Amino acid sequence: MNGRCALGLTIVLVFASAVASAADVSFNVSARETYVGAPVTVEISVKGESDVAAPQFPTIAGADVRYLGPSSQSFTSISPSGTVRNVTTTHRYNVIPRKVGTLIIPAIEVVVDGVTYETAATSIRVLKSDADDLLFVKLVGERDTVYAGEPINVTLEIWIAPFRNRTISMSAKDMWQSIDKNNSEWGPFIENLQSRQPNVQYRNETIDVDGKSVEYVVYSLKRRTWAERPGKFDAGGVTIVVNYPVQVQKSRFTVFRRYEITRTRPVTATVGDSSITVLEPPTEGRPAGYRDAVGQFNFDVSAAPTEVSVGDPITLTLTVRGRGRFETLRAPTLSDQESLVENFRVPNEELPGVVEGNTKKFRQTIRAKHDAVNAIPPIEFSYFDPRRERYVTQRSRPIPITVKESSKLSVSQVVEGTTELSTRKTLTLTDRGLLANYEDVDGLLTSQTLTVGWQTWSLLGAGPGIFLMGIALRLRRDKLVGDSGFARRKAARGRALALMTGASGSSNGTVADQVAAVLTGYVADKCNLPAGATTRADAVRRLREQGLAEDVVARFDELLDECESARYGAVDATEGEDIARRARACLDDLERSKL
Amino acid sequence: MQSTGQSMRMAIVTLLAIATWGTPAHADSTRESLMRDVSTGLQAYDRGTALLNSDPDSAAAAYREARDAFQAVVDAGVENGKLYYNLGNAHVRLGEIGPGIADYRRALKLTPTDEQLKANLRFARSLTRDRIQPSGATAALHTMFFWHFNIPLRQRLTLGLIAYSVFWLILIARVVIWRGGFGYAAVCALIVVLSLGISIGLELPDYNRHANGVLVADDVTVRKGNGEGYEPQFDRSLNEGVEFAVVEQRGGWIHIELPDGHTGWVRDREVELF
Repeated sequence: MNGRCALGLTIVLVFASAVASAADVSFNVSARETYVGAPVTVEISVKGESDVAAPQFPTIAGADVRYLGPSSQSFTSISPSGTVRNVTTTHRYNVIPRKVGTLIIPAIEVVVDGVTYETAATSIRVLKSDADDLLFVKLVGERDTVYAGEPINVTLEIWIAPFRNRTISMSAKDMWQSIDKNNSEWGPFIENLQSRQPNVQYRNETIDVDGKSVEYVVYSLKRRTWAERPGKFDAGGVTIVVNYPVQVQKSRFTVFRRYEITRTRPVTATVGDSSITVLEPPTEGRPAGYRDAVGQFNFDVSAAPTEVSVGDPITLTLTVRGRGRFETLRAPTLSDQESLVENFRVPNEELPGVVEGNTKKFRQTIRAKHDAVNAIPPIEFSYFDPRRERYVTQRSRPIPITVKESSKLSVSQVVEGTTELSTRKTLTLTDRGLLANYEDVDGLLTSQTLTVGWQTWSLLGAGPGIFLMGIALRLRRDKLVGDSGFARRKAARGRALALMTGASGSSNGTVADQVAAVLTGYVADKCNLPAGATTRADAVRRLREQGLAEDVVARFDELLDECESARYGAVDATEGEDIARRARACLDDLERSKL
Repeated sequence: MQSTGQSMRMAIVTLLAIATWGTPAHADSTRESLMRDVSTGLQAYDRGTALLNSDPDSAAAAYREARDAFQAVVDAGVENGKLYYNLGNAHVRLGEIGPGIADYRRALKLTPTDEQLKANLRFARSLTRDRIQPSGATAALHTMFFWHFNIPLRQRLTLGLIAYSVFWLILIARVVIWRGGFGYAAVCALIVVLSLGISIGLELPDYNRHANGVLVADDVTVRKGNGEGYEPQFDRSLNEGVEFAVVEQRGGWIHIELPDGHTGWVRDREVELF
């Protein structure tokens, strides 16, 4: 019955609810025949649009059932009518027979979308494993008796007769590989297998079985564990399954292994009654405050703060150190300690402790009932010492404290223990309710409407406008500084007019001279000629070169000619005024001509 | 050159004067009447609160009086965040959660940094039966562009104009007086101007438009289109107090976008826009 045979025997036994939905639920069993201890895998597959919860597997007499978990596959099909998602969920169980005979797997109910389907009952034939001389297991303790709650070192011994035929003798290492680790029940020894290098030792033993000398490989798994309940020591139902080789042949394909196993059969063995007896601690002399602590311990109590007001919390820290099972160690019941309850308010509750190495600490808050209290009395802790086989009660030292009268607490508050003034140091805002109205009438009537008026647009336009003006100013200033001719041109008319005004007040001959000087000077300024050295002919020639209209040039030349004539002839005041007036008109003509 | 400097100083003074320009005052002619309404509302509200535990019916009547008085001031054209806050308080006291949230949101638009207002808005929202959480992208936008969401439009406009003025003053001074320098200051001012300008530009068109709203009725069916013939958009109806953004108005129907990004159509009589 190796794996391949089992696979070959896998059959679909039932298509449940064949009429309603034949393909929705299926039920598979991996084999119809097995050996005691050899598991049979049962699969229940449900096909639908969503996952289905694991069905309730019924209890089977003479067999153990272990749920292996679900697995699911989904696929989406697209058709003209739409997209359909199909999910197939498979729940797998191992059924492990524990006795020879016929094993009945009863009908199993599966609920899919509110519809209940039911598989048909299935029978499996269970054969004897014939393991007596091939495999047996036993538990060996370091001593025969132990007290409940006391630690003990135990060894699980797995005895396997190694496979041998005429040509092949399997080694201890190979026989270890034949143990079915997953289907075996290891109890507390499972931790020996969880490290990378399993904590297993082996040795060879030869013993006499039914008059024959049989050689075994003995695998030893050592573990420190705890005796739980009085009676025979229970290691948690250790059962070992070995896929024992039946057919082995020399390897043809690999160079590292000399042989390969081609067929196996399952062989199982269970730890029988242990030779270790678990004793209950004696009832005689058991202290009233004993709470199942077994071992050797030291007990201490500390308190903080030690200066309080009546009703203020005092935190007691109870520390237990030593050897024992701290995971299950319980604190002494403080509310049963009469000397403590007399003067302190003590909650009646089980204390959760914190384990740190070989120490366990418990914390409890107590409150002084009145200001006459001056010490926390000794607190008792009792345990059973298995070495000395007697109970021990330890008492902590009294802790002096100072208790002041509290004017803030009522008697009822102290009694009820509901006020924790010293711990309420911060205030928490609540989100409930509305905050008050605003009542500033002027503020409420101030309009906050947004209007974008001419002021805003003015401001938006002013910036770029002033910037452009600034650029223009800068350019002009640079021109004036860098180009002297430009400055003379710009100032020519103004200077000429100013000189003309001065000339009007002079004598007639002087007027003609000054008008001539003003006109030639104006042309010199406009054309950037040397000042004072420009003659009438130079001025006329330059005007023609500048492309001025001939009549304007002619009037200019004529006016200068008259000025020369007036310098040597008699000119009355009226003629002088006329020359000055015509000179201004001539300047205007020249200015209009864009000289 | 001296005349140029004087003209620059005058320009700067003028710009600053315009930048610090204030808002127009409310018309004085109706002010006394409005003050009476506000006082009436405040007194009625206080009276309602005093009666709340002993005489709930009288308290409700007082709150109604307060609500109507505040509403009259609003109807007279006063846009004020604190006034909307008081009006929202009166609505919430009357159990009118939707209008209350609407008024708080109006107030928030005018005074977005008012913590008292935010606390009452939170409380009003806690009274709603439908809690639609905003999408993560919306929350991220509020964090990234905090100035857009946390500074009132008026303040953004004032700050923007000041930054705008500073920017141009620096540029003008660089051209006319300093011939360079303060370049980093100009860049900073320009960044502020652009940030606030874009923010204002995005919001200004919607400022006087009702861009948001709140449901003021229970059991409102959000439909896929603007008509009763359209199928419901969601598997359940929505209740008073659900806030939304207005996408479009068509006839008697409003296309809404919920904070989680879902959209649909509701009747205009079932909502209050702000």
